[in-house]
Amino acid sequence: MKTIALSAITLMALTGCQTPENTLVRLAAHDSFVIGEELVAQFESETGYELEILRLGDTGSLTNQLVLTKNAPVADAFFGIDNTFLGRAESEGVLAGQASAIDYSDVCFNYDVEWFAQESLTPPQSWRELVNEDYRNLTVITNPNFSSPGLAFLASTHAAFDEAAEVESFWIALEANGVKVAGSWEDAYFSDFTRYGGNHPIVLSYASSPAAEVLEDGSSGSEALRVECFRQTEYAGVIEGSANESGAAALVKFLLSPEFQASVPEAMYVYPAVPGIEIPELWAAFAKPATSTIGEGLDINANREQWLGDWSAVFDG
Amino acid sequence: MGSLDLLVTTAFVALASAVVAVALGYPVGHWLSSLRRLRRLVTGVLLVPFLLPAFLVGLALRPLLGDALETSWVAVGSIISAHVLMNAGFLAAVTAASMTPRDQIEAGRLDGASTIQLRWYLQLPQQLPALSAAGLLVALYSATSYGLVVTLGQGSVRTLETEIASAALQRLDLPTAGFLALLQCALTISFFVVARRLGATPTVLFGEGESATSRSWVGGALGIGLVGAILWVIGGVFARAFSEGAGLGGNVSNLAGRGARDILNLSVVEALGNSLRNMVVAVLISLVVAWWLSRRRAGLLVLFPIGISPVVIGLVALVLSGYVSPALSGGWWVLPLVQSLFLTPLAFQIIAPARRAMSPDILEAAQLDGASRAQLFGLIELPTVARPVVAAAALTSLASLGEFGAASFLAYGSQQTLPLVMFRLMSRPGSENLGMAMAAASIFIFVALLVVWSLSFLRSDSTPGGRDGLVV
Repeated sequence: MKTIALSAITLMALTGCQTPENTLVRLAAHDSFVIGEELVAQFESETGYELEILRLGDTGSLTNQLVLTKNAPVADAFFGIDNTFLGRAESEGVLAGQASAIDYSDVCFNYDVEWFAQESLTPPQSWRELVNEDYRNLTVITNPNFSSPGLAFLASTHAAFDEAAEVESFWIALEANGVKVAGSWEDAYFSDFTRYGGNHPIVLSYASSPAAEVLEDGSSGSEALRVECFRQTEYAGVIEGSANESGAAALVKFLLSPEFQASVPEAMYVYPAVPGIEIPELWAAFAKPATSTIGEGLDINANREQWLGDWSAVFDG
Repeated sequence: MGSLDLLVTTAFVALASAVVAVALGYPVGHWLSSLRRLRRLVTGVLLVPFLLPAFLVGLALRPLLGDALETSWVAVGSIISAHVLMNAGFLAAVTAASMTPRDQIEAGRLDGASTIQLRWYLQLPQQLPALSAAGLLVALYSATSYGLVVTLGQGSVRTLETEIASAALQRLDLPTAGFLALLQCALTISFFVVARRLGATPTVLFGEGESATSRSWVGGALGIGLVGAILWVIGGVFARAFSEGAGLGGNVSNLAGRGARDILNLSVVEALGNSLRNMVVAVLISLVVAWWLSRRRAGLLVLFPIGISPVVIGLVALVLSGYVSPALSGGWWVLPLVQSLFLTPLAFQIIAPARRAMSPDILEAAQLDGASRAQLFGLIELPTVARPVVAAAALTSLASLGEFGAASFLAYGSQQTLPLVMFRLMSRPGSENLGMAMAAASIFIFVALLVVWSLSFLRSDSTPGGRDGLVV
């Protein structure tokens, strides 16, 4: 470790620090951020700014780095802090002004349409039914300690019930009904889900996932349970104390423009947050957003540790 | 969960993995050294999982275990089994390379020793230093296999690494993460103490060795079982490359693009380019450093960096990013620099014994005759140990290509490497992306096999004793 620190410090001294010019706008984003080259060109020619993108890992790592670097910001604007981490960024004073919602995705259960047809079993309508005997051993979720959809579903249950005791008894019932907990979304989807050779026909994923599961005959291979889903909203904003706040504001404005908004479904598997943007045909047919969402009012930042502790007591105990 | 429990779990998993890998690798190594024609191919197959990104091994094993993973001891057992599967072949290669010279065995026979007596009193004591050094290597790998622990442990098996990750990235609690990282380092140090007690010294890890004089049933059965298990894992990856998405041809040709609906920041071919560039830099650094270290009094400590968890590296990178300009910390060369930390010990293990085995008389004679340092290096030393150097270059190249942990924290955006892209393709729904991931993985496995196998044809005519080099 010492070696790394020393070599980094030496190299820093050797190369010196780059001073950004006023025409440069630096965007800190998570690793899933995708923007087309023609959109970058459009932003640069319309505004006269030059765009530089820094990718700082996943959402948690992005938030952490912006908090750690708040005294000497590494970027002018950020994209990709979601509603589960926004409270942290706000309370640490990372933001200059308000953050703007850029896109959202709905964490919903998906089920394997063919499997339920073959078994002549009626698929569930809502995740509340997953504790029923009919669906014993059919469901796979992801561990909320390591996976963001897992945390989102945990938050949904806290939003859905009034009392903490009800939340706990739901989870106990779900555990007793044989729910499987996977370490990551990749494990749950590509290893446990029946569409990929697993033996669980109900998987915790996103409302948009069925768009990737359209069968050759044009029918849907999977469908989402679209009620009471958790909406993950991703935000962009100007970073407090940055070298180019006006450039950052222009960039955030661009991310809200119809051109960029229309690109997000295909590029990032998310829905545009600005109303009135047309979504791709395939999505309109197979990947509609949730019909109802819950949990927007929760203070996730304040409760995260308590919730994860309670959850682990049910599953690890 | 208390820190002590985490420490105990991590230590138990690492030690058990090392002990079982040695217990399995030792008889398999004897079987390996008794093979004639097939020896090269079998060694190639045995080494492939040692070089695979752990998430591929986890993904292949998970369907087999299914819901049994819900039981915590099964989950822990499966993590240990995966470590054993990845490392036992490596131990077998070490055993095969450190076989006792045949004349000693025959002398023992003449004196009336039984096979068991020969193994116990003659061969094992000679092989113990090499085996414990290799066992240490396995323990260090097994204490730092974050991806595998999350996949097979499903998040309910907690180790120091999983808690560092969840403290740093979910709870944003850096002090706790830092404390646990210190514990992880303490654990690594204690492994060294144990290995030192066992008399571990860096010995030839790969070499020709002597052929075994007798075949054992147990070794043969275990060896065939291990090869079968490895082929089964590899076969699962190949099968998915064929069956998912656009079929093998379509999946491979899709690799030129950025995935279904362009979900990647770069094409898979570009990612391969990044990986190759990093590989060249990392391998050059490791070879030079290993060469330099090989004449110095560097012992087991050279292995230390292998015990540094990629999660700890990620944590340090995260904290440093608060103080270092991103133009610097975000440079592509950071990753090969960090990778060379892990690769140097591997290169050292192969080069140092060969270089130390060279007679100093030759060098002194040449010096007396007026040879310059450059002439000594270029005309005498390098040609003499050419084969181990090539072998070290090959093994470190493959290890760099397959490296996942440090890359996942240090290579962002357009700098992503091949294993990261495989993982990224798998992180979106749809058969097309999974098919591409598996096609990329298949190509990786194929290249790894090809390199290990073709190296086995390099003959060692000039090296003393013929006991160095990657072969097989």
